[in-house]
Amino acid sequence: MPGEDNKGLILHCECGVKNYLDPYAFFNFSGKTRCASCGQVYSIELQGGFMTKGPDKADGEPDRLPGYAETADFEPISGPGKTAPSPKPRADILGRPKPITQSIRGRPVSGRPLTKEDLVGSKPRMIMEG
Amino acid sequence: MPRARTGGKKAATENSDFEEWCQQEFNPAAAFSKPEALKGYRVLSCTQYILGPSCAAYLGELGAEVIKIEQPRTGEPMRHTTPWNEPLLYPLSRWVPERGTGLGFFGANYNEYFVGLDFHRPEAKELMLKLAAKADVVVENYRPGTFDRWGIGYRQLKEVNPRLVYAWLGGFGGWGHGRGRASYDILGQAQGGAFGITGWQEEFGGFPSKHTIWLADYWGGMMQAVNILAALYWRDTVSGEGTFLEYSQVDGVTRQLEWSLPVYGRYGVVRQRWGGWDTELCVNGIIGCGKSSYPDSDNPQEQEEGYITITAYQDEDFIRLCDAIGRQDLAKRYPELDSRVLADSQREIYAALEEWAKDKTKEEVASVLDKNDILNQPVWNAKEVAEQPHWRERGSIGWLDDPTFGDVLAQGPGYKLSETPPRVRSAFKPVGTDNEFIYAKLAGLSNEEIEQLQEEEVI
Amino acid sequence: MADDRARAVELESKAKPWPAIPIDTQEEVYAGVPDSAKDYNLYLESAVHWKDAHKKPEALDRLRVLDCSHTTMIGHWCSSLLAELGAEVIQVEPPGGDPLRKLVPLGRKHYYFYDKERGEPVGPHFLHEMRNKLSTTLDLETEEGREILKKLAVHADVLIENYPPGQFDAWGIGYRQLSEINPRLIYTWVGQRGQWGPLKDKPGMTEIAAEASCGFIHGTGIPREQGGRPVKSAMWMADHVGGTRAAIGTLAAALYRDRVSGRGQFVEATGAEAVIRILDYDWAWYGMDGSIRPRYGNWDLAINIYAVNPCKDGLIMVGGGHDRLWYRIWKTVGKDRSELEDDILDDKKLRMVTDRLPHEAQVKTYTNLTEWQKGKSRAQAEKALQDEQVASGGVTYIDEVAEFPHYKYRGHVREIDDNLYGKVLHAGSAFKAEKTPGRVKWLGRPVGYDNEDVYRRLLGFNRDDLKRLSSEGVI
Repeated sequence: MPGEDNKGLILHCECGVKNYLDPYAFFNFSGKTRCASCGQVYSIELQGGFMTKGPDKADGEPDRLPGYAETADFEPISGPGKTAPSPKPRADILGRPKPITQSIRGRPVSGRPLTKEDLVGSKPRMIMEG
Repeated sequence: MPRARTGGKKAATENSDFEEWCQQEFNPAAAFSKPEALKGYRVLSCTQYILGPSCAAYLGELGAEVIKIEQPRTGEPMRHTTPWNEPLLYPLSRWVPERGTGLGFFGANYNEYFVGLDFHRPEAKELMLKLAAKADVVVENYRPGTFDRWGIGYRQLKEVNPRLVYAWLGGFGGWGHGRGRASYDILGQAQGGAFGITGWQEEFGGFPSKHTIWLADYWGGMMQAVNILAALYWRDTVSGEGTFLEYSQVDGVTRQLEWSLPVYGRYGVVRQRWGGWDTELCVNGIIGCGKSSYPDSDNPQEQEEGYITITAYQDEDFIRLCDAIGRQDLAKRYPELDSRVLADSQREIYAALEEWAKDKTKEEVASVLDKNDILNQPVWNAKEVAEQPHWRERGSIGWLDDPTFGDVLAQGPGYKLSETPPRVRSAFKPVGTDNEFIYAKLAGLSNEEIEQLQEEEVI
Repeated sequence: MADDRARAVELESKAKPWPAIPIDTQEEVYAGVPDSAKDYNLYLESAVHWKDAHKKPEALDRLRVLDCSHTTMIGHWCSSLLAELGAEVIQVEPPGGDPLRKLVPLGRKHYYFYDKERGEPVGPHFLHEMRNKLSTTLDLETEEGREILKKLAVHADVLIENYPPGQFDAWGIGYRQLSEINPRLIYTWVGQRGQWGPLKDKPGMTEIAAEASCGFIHGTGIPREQGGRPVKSAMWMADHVGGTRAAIGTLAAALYRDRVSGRGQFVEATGAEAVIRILDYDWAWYGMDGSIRPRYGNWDLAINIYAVNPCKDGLIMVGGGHDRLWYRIWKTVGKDRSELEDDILDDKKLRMVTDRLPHEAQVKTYTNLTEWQKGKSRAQAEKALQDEQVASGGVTYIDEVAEFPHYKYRGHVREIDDNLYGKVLHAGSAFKAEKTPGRVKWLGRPVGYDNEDVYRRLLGFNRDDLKRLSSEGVI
C-alpha cells in the first residue's frame, strides 16, 4: 500500500509485500532497491530513516537489496537474489538447535538432546563411558 | 618520535637458551604438577550473565574453590543464549536432559562447583548464611539492595563472617542517580563512552561500533578480580578484616578512555572515532587487501577480502614501507611522525596502502612487508586464530577433555605464572550438579534433606 | 613549541569550565525518595564514597613496583591499577623519557599538558596513566644503568617490563638473574603475543598486532553484507585487557608469596591472549562444527533484543533478552505506532525467545524498532522505554560522558587539582571499596622528576653521584 505512510524503513510494495530496509544499510541511503517478491525496482532516498524521495518505480539493477521481506500474512521471503545476504559463520546455517555428537576433530562431544536414561547423575553416559 | 631504546631491532635471544627455558618454565602441560596461587580460598558466585560470573571464574582459574549458585532446574539466563540458536551442550541439568546450555555460558564459569538455590524461598537464607560463614569471597550481581532485603547482603553476612570480602558488580553502582538502572554489556559500552569513539568514520560509511566481545562484562569482571585480590592481600597480610567492594561497569569503561577526558576538560575538544587507524601513531592501522585468501571456500567468512594491520610509525620503518609500495613521495613529504599522524596525512597514506594492496591477499601483503622488515599482522578470523600453533603451544587455546561435555575447544587462562600457573579443568557443569557434595560439606545436610530440597526445587 | 603553547592557552580560555552543570548534591539526587527506599543506597554511599578514600588505608601500600615498560601501554596500565590501590610505583624510563610522552592525538601539539615547574610538555594519554607514580630515568643500554637496576631490584616486590623477548635476560637483568639477587621478586613480563613460541613478539610491536592476531578485529564492526569492514577498538584495548590480566597475575603471585612460599615468580601476560580469554564462545563454537564467528555489527548473535540502532540524534541501545522485556518493548512501541507492534506480536515465527535469533528475525525486529525510534532523540526513546522498565541508553559522546550527572556525582569523571599539572579532568579509580578503596593522588611527573628522591632513598646516592650519572646520560 504505497502512499503517505510508506515513508520509512518498511517498504510496502504494490504486490503487498513488506520489505524490511534494515537500519544500518538504509538509515541514510540514496539509490535503488528491489521488492524481494515481485522484483519491482524502487528509487528511494532515506535520511535518518525518513524517506525523503520515493518510493518511485524505476528500472535497472538495485544498489542494495532489502534485509528481509514478508507477505502480509507473515510468510517469509528471503534468499539469494531476493534479500541481502546474512552474515554467516558457515555456508549451511540452520538457525535452530543443531545436534552435534563429535567435535571437528572427531571426538565425542555432548551436543544433542539427551534422555534421563542417557545420564549418569548429571553426566552424559556417552562421555562417561567414552 | 625517537626510536624505542630496545637494544636494536635484532632479537636478543638468538644465541641464548632463554626461549627454551621459558617454554619449560611456562609449559602449560606441567600446570597440574604445580601448586595453585589461591588454594584454600572459597568463593561464592551468586551471579548471572557475564560480568559477575567471569569475575569469580578468574579466581577459579587460580585455584580458589568457586561455588556457583543458580536458580534450580533452569539455571541462570546466560545458559539460554547461543549464537544463531545452534550450538548447545547437553544436559542443562539431570532434571532437564532434553535441553542444553548455550555457548553464551562458555568461558565465564570455569572450574566451578554448581549448586541450585532459589533465593526467593524462605529456606534459602539459612543455607546462604551457612555457606557464607565458610567463604572468603562472595561475588554478587543482583540489583543493588536485593540481597540486603533478603537478609543475605553485606550488612548481614559480615555479622556471620567478618573476614568476608563481598564484591558487588553491576551497571551503574548502588548509589547516585542511576542506582536503579539495569545494565548490560553493550549498554555499559554505550554509556561509558567507548562505543561512541569506536568504529569507522562517516566517510567510510561507518557507525559507532561496539566491541564485539562482551568487553565491558568480561573485562569488567577482571577489574573487580584485581580489587578482590588486593582486598584479600590486605586482609591476609595486614588487617584480618573483610570489606565491601563495588564495581560499576560504566565506571570501568570510562576508565579506559585514555586521552579523551583530559583533552575535553582542558581544551574542550570532543574525541571522535577514527576507524581502524590510530590517533597517535601512523602508520599503525588496518588496511583492506582486495583479495580473499580462500576464494574456493564455501564459508562466507573465508570468502571475505583480507585485512591486515601495519605498524611503521618509526621514520626508518615508514621509509622502507614507502619503498615497498613504490610511493617514495610519501616518505619525502611525511618524513616525521609529527607530519604523518595529522588527519589528512593519515587519509592519504592509508589510501595509498589500500591502493597498493587491492590486488593482493593479506598473506601476499604480509610476505612483501616481512621481506622489508615491516611489522604487520593479518586480521585473522576465529578459525585462523584457533589453528595457530603458537596459541596451542602456549595453552591459550586448546582441546579440553571436559568431564561433562567431552571434547571442547576452550580458551586457556591467557596469562602465565611460573610457580602457580592458572589452569582450566572444566568449562562448566549442568545446573545443580554438585548439590549433594557442597550442601553436605558446607551446610551439613543429610542425603534425605538434600533430596527433599531438590524435590521442592529449593536447591 | 611557543606557538603550540600559545594555541593551547587560547583553546583553554575558550573551553567550557567543568562541570558546565554543577554536580548534584545528595539532597538533589535523592529528592522525594522515602527513607526506607533509600536506606541501602545511602549506606553504600557512606561505605564507598570516593571523597572518603583518603581517610582509609591502601591495600597495596607495602608493595614497591619498578615499572620498566615503555612505548606501549600494557605495562603502564598494569602498574596504574596497582598504583591506584596503593603500591609505590617507580616508573623507570629511558633518559629523555618514555616515547609515549610525546604522543598527542592527530599530531596536535596544542593538546600537550605542561607542568608548573619545568614547563615540559607531556601528552594527555601518557599523563592519564601516570597516576600516583614516581618518575625516574635509567639507561638500561649501559652497563652502569643495568647495575643500578640490579640494586633497585633488591628493594622491589614487583618488576614490570615489556622489552623484546629475552632482552633483559641477555642484559643480565632478566628474571633468572634478578631472582638470584632478590628471590622475593615478582617479575612480570608484558607484551602482545608472548616472549616464546612461533609468534613471539618482535621489537616495536604495538597493541594492534594483538587485536588482529586474536580474532577481535575480524569480529568487530559492521558486517561486509551491510557494507561494513572490520575495525579495531578506538582505545589500545588489548593493552588495557592484557594489563589488567597482568595485574591479576602479579597480585596472585604476591598473595602466594606472602601467605605460602616466601618466593616470587615469573609472570607473563599478553594483550592477545587476554583478549582470546574473553572472546566469548568463538573457540568452542569453532570446535563444535567449524563455525567462524562473523561480525554482526551492533547486533548480537546470541540475544535479541540486545542491540544498538540509530535514532534521531545518534544511536541507542535497547536490551530485552527475555519474554517479559520483549513484550514491554513492543508495548512501548505500540503506544506510538500500533502497526509496528502488531507486525511483531502477530507474527507466530517470533513467539519463542530462541526463534528470534536467526538473522531474518533480527532484521525484522530491528527495522521495526528503528522505524519507531527514528523520530525520537536518545533521551526521548530512553524515557519512553524506561517508563516500561526496559534497560536502554544512548551511545554517549565524550562531552556527554564528562557531564553525565551520575558519573560526576560518583566520581567516575572528576577533576584533580594536581600540584604540577593543575586542574585535569580524568577518570577516577574504578576500585570502589569500603576499607581500601583505589584513589588518584597525583596525575604524573615530568621526566626524571623523582630521580633524586628514589636514588637517594633506596640506593644512598649523593649529589656527586647524581650529577655524574646525569652528565654521563645514565639517568
